[in-house]
Amino acid sequence: MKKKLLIILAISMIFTTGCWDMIEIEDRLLPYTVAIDLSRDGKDNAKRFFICFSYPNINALTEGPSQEDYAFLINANADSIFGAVDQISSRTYNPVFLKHLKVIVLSDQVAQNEQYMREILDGLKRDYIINKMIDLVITRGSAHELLVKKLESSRQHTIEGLFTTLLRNKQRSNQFTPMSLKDFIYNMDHKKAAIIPLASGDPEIEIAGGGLFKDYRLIGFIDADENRNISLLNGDANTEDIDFEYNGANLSLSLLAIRARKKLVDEENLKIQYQLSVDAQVHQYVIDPDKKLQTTEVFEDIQNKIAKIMVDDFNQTIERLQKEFNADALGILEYLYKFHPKIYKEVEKDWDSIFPYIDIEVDVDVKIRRRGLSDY
Amino acid sequence: MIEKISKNIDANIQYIKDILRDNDDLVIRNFEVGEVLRVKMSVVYIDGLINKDFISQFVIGSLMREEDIKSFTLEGYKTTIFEAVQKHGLYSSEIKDESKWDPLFKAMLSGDTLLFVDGCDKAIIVGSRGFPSRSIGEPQTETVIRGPRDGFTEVIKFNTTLIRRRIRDTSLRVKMYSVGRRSQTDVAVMYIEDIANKELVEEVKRRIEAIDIDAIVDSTILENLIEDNYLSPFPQVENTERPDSVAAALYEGRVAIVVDNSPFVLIVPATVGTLMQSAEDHYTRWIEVSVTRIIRHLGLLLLLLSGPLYVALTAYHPGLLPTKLSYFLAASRNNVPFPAIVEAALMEITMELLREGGTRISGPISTTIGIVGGLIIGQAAVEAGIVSPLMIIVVAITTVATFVIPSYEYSAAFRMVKFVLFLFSGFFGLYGITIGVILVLSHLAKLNSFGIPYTSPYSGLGVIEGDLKDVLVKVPVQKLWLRPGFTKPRDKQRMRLDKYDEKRNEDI
Amino acid sequence: MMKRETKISNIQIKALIVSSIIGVGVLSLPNQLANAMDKDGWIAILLTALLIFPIVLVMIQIFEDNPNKDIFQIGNETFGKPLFTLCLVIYLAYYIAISAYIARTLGELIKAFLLFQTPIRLISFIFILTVAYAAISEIDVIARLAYILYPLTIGFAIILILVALPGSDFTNILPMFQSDLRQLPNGIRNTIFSYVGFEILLFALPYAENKSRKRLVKASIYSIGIVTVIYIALFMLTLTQLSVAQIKADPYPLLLITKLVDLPGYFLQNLDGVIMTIWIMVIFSTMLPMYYSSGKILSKIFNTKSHSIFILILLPIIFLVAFIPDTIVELDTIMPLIINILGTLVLAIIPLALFLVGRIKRRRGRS
Repeated sequence: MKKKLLIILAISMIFTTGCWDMIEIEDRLLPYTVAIDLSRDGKDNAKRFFICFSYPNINALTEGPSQEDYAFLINANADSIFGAVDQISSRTYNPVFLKHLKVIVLSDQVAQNEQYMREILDGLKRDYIINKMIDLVITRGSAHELLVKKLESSRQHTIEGLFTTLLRNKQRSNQFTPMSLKDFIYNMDHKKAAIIPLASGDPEIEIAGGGLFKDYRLIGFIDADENRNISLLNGDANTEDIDFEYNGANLSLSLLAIRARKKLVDEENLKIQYQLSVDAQVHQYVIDPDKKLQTTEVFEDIQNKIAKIMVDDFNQTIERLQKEFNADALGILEYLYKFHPKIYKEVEKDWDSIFPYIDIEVDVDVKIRRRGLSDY
Repeated sequence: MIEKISKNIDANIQYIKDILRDNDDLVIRNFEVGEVLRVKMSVVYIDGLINKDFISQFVIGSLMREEDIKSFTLEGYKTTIFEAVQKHGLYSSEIKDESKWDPLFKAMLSGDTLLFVDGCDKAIIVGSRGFPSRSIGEPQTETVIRGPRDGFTEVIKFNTTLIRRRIRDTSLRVKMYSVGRRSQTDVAVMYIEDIANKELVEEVKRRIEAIDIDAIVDSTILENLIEDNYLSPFPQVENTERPDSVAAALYEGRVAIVVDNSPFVLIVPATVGTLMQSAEDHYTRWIEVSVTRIIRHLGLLLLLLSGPLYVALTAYHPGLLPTKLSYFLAASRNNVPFPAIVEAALMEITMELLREGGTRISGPISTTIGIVGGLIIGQAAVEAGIVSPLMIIVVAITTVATFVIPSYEYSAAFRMVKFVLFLFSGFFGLYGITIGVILVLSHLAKLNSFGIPYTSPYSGLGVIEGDLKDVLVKVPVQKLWLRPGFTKPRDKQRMRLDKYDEKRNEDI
Repeated sequence: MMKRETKISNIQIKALIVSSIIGVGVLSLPNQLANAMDKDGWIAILLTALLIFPIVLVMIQIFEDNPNKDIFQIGNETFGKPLFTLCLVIYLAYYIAISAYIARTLGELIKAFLLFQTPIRLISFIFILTVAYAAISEIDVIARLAYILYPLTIGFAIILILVALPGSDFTNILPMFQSDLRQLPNGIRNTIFSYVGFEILLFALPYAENKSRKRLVKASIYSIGIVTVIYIALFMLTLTQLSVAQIKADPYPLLLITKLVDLPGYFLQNLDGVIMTIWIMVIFSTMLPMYYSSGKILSKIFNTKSHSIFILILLPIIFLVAFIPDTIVELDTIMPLIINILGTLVLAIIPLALFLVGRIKRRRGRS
C-alpha cells in the first residue's frame, strides 16, 4: 500500500511538469565571442556600453562548402552583458546561452575606466554559467570593428571562433600570452600587473603584444618583444628566436627550454636575481667555407653574445616596467608573499613606492646544444 | 475415484475404460499365462508413449513363455503367481508394484505399462517410456566457440543425465517433485549437499512444494511462481540451456531446478554478477575474459544511457558538451522538425518493431531483414530529414549493446528501464537521468534472490571472499581457490594449492 | 520465508560512514575554512578529525558494554523511557533539519547550474521522493546502497583532482602557517558541520557482522581517515587553482573548479555536468541514512513494526522545513546554526551521556 502511494505520487509528478527547460540545441544562440565598446549613443539616457555578440551560423557548418556567412554578429546598447542578452531577445527568436563564451574583447576606452572593468569582470565571475577560463583580449579603438573585420577574413575561419583558436595556438611565438579571467583576477588579487593580449585588425587579424593592467585599469601598452621578455621571466613561455650578425653573416638561433628562476639575494636592499638557463640551437647561418661553427671558442663567443643581447633586452623591459609604468608584471610581490612572508608584511603597504627602486638583475646562461644538419 | 484396485481383473479393466473413456489411444491387451492354470493377465498402456518392442518382448513375451507357473499348486497360487510374475517372470529392469489407482494412472499417463493379474490386488508398473523426443544438439540460445555442444532437451531424464555426467560426487542430490494438479509435471531439484547452503536448499524445496496450480507448461511459469519479487522487471532466477553451466553453478553452491518439457534449466540464486557471465567465460583465457566482461558492463551502460543522454544533452544542457561538439550537434540537427525526445521516441519504437518482427522470421531471412531494415529505414529517415544522423548512431549503439548482455531477460529488463529513463530525461534532463539511475540502483539493492542480495558481488562481502574476482574482471583460475561467497556455501575451498607448482609461472 | 539476515559487514560500515559524511559540506568547506583561517584551513580539518575520533570510540564502546541490543533498548534502559524519548525527539529534529537543508541546497544548485527554469520546489521534491523510495527498506539494503555508491564518493574527489591537476599552481599553497591561530576554534566549528553523518553508527553498529572491537575500531579509523584525506586534498586543490581572495568570495569553490577545466586537446571541456551528476549521487548517499534513521526513530516511538508509513509522513514535513528559509542568506546562516546546535547534542553529548550513565549504572549494579 505504501509503495503504491509512492508510485502514484511519483507518476503524478510527471503531469505537473511543463518541461520548462527543454529548448532544442539548434534553436539556441551560442555566442563564442563578445565585444564591449563605449556606447556611441549621444543621448542623455543612453546606456553605457555597445555590446556585440558573435555566434556561428549553423547552416554553414554542415558538410561541404557553403556560400553563407560562417558567423553572425548581433549587438545591443546596454549597461551590462546580461542587459544586452535581454535586449537581443526582442530581435531574435533564439534564446541566448552564454556557456560557450570563450573570448571577451574589450575596447581600450572601456579598459581605461577602472569602474567599468570591475563591473564587467564581476558579472562574468558571478554568473553561474559563464566559463571562468574565458580569455580576455583588448584592442585599440572599437572592439566591434574588430569583430566585423574578423568576419571578413574568411581564410581564417574556424568552428570555435577565430580568437579562441588564435589564442590557444600552441606554436605561438610568445608575441602574446593568453590571459584568462581566473588568472586575471588572481593577478589583481596579488597586486601583480596583468597583461592582456592586444588584438588589431589592420590589415589582418593579428594578436601581438598586450595591454598592461594594474588594479583593474589599463595603464599602457607593451609591444610583442616586451611581452616576450616578461613571459620568459615569468616562466609562462620557454622559447624564443634570436637573430643577430655574427662574423659578417646573420646567425639565426632558436632558443629552447628556457627556464627562469628568481631569488631574493639581498634581504635588506631587496635585490632580486633572475637566473635563466637557455638551450640554443642553430637555425641558419651561411654557406661559406670560411664561416665555421666548429670550435668551442666560437660557441662560447656566440653564447656570450646571446646572453648579452638577452640581458640588455630584459633590462630595457624591466626598466620600462619599473620607471615608466610602476607595474609589477613580474610578480615580485607575489613571490615575496609566498616565499618570504616576513618581508612581505613589511613592504606590502608601500609597494608602489618601493617597487621602482628594487634592484632586479638578470643572469643568463646559454648553451648551444645543436646546430642542425650541418657540420659547420 | 476408487482408491485401490480390486482383485477382479475385469472390474479393474472396466474401471480404466470408464475413467479414460474417449481416449482411443488407450490399448488393453488381455492374455492368459500358463497352459494349465490359465491365469488372466492384462497389459494396459497408452499408445505412442511406450516402447512397443519392449513390451512385446520383455513383458508379454516373457510371461507367455513362462513354464514355472504351471508347476504351482492350487492352494497358494494366487499370491505366489504374483510373486512369480514379479520376481521371475518379467525381464524388465524397472518394475514396481502398486495398489492405488492414483499412482497407477499417473504412471500410465507418463508412459509406463500396467500389468494386471487376475485375483491379485496389486498391479505391476513396468517402466517402458519410449515417447518421441529431440536428439541432443547444440543449444540454440547460447553458442560458444570452444566448449561442449550438448544442450538440454525436453525430456527430464536426459537433462538430469547430462548434468550427472559432469558431477560424479556421491553428495549430488536429485530430488523429484510433481508439480501441477493436472499437468503433474516432473520437477527435479539438484544440488551438491556438501557445498550448498542448507537453508537455501530448504527454501527452494519449500517454495516448490507450496505451488498449487493447474499446470506448469514451461520452466518460466515455475520461475515466476518461486521468485521473490514478481513485480520487478529484473529476473531473479537464471536459466540456461547448457549442462556445463548448470554443473558449474552447482559447484558454486547453487541449486538447479530441472523441469520436464522444458530445455531451460533454472539456476537459483541469481545475482547481478552471475547474470552477466556467459558460458564462454569458462573456456577462454583470463585476460580476454576480463576485457570482455568490462565491455559487457560498458555495453550495459550504453544500452541504458546513450539514448537518454542524447536527449538530455541536446534539449536541456547544450553547455555540457565541448564547444566544437555542441556546434556540430546543432548543425546536424538543423532542419529536423521534431524535438529531440520525439525523434528519439520514433526511432526507438521503430527499432522495437524491427526486433519483434525479426523474431517471427527464421532462417537466413531474419538477419537480412534485421540489417536491411535497420539500415534502410535509418538512411531514409536521415535523408528525408526527419531524424538527425547522430540519433541513428545512438539507436544503433543501443541495439548492439542489448546483444552484448548474455542473459536475454536481463537485457530485456534494462530495455524497459531505458524507456523510463527516456521519460525522466525528457522532463528533467540530466537531473532526471541521475534520479532515474539512483532509482534503478535502489531497486536493484532491494531485490533479493532467495534471500541472497541481488547486488551481491558489489554489496560489500569483500574481495577476499572471492566474489569480485570473477565478476568484473576474471582472475586466472589459479587464484580462484575460494568459492564465491554470496551463497554462503558450506565448503569454501575449491582448490588446494599445495600441490600446484608455482615455479611454472616464474618466467613470465 | 527465508529470514533475511540483517547483518552488515565491516566494509559496509566503512562505506556507510564515508558516504554519510561526505555530502553537502564538502562543496562549501574550502570557502568557510579560508574565511576563518586563510591557507591553513587544513589544520582545522585535521584537528576536527582528531576530535571526532574519540566520540566514535565512545559509540563503539556503548555497544560493547551492552551486547546484542540496539540503540533504542540501550537508551531505554540507561535513561528511562521518558528521557530517552526526549533524546529521540532531538535526534529526529536534527535529522529532519539536515535532510531539509540537503534537499534545499540541492535544489538551489541544480536550479543554478542545470535546470534554470524548472521550479525549485519540484526539483527538491523529486529528490526527497527518490530518497524516500530507498529509505523504506531495512538497514542492510541501505548498507548495500552505501557500498555501491561509495566508490563514486571517492571517485568524485579523485576525478576533480585529476582534471584540475594540469592547471594548478602548487606554489599557491605557500606561505604556510601565517594565519592567526586564534581563529582555530572558528575553523573547527565550521568543519564540524562537514563531518556530521557518522552518528549513523548508532543505528548500524548493532547489526554489524563482526563485533570484535579491534575490527570496528579499525573500520572507524579507516573511514574517518579517508574522509579527512579527501577533505584536505580538496582544500589544497582549491588553493592551487584559485587565489585565497577568490576562495573567500565564492560560496562553492569546488564547483568553480569544475568550470576551470579546459583542455580542448583532450576533449575535456565543460565537465561541470559530469561532476554535478556524480555529486547528486553523493548527496543521495548522505541523505539516505538520515531519512531512514528518522523513519526508524518514529517507528520506535510509536511502536510500529515497520517504518515505511513514517517515511511517507516525513515526506511533506521535510519538504516544508526545506522551504522555510526564503533567501540564500537565511539558508546559509540559520540552517547551519540549527544543525550545529542540534549536532553537538546529538553527536557528542548524548552518546557521552549514554556511555557514562551506562557505566555508572553497571558499577552500581555490581556493588
